Amino acid sequence: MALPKVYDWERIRLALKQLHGTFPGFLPSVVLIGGGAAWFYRETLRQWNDPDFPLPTWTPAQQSDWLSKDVDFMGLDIAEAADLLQTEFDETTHTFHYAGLEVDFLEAGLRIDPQMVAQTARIVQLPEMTFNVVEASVLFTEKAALIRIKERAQDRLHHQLLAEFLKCEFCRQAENPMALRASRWVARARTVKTAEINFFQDDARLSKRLASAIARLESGEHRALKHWAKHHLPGYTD
Amino acid sequence: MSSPENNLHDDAAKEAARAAHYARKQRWKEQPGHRYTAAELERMARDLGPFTIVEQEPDVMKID
Repeated sequence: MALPKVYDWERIRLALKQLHGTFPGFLPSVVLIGGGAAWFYRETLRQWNDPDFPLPTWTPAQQSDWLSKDVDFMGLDIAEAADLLQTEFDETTHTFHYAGLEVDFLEAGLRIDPQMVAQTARIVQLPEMTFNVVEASVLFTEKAALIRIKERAQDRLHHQLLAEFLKCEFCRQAENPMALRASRWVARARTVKTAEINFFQDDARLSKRLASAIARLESGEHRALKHWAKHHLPGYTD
Repeated sequence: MSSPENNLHDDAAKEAARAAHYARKQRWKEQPGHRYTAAELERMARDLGPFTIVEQEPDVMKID
């Protein structure tokens, strides 16, 4: 199917709004995954404008590999989606053609499944709607697995972006004790380290800033981070 | 009937289906015009406007 010439965020926004309006139960029951999800984390990292973890720079060729024009969700199987969208599934593209969008529903990844992504999803809030997006550490785990067995340029770019995003977020959250949720922070740290054993060891920017932030935490409810840091963060002393 | 052997066959079939799916998707992505250009990505970022990504509120079990 030929894609429309004008294919941009406004079109995606309109298609999502149309989906939301036509099928009110759709967006709450699915989770955006894949490159589209990585793109929202990319834009969040851009908004943060952090001096230690800036948005990576990419060559024109890498930019051209970054994001394809299909949108992947988890949460419905193909039959459920066909029923809901009242559209036939195109086996040749493995997508539904909906309002100018190529929409796919994945039932399993290498490390992720619909139940896992639904239970851990975050929420993207736009002025006109909200929708679920796969948790960054979970998507990082999937990308880390993909780059080990596949030679797809986009996976390496998404993995790089998610690593920077997560490093920045671990630091920002540890530096903001009022909003810090210790159990979630530690759970994410464990997820990321399980995917990449040296995640917290190979980057001096991360270990130094994180050690400093965790050392400053005073509340008893943040003891979990101090305990984690003792065992997993190079250079940390309480 | 479920048996270890049948489960192995099921797993192999699922893995083969997944690999075929990835290959088909990748072929689609690599067709001309199916990826955003650098300029399109910049425009999308500009047009996105204000947004936030928030965490789900945890379910709290209350015991009276």
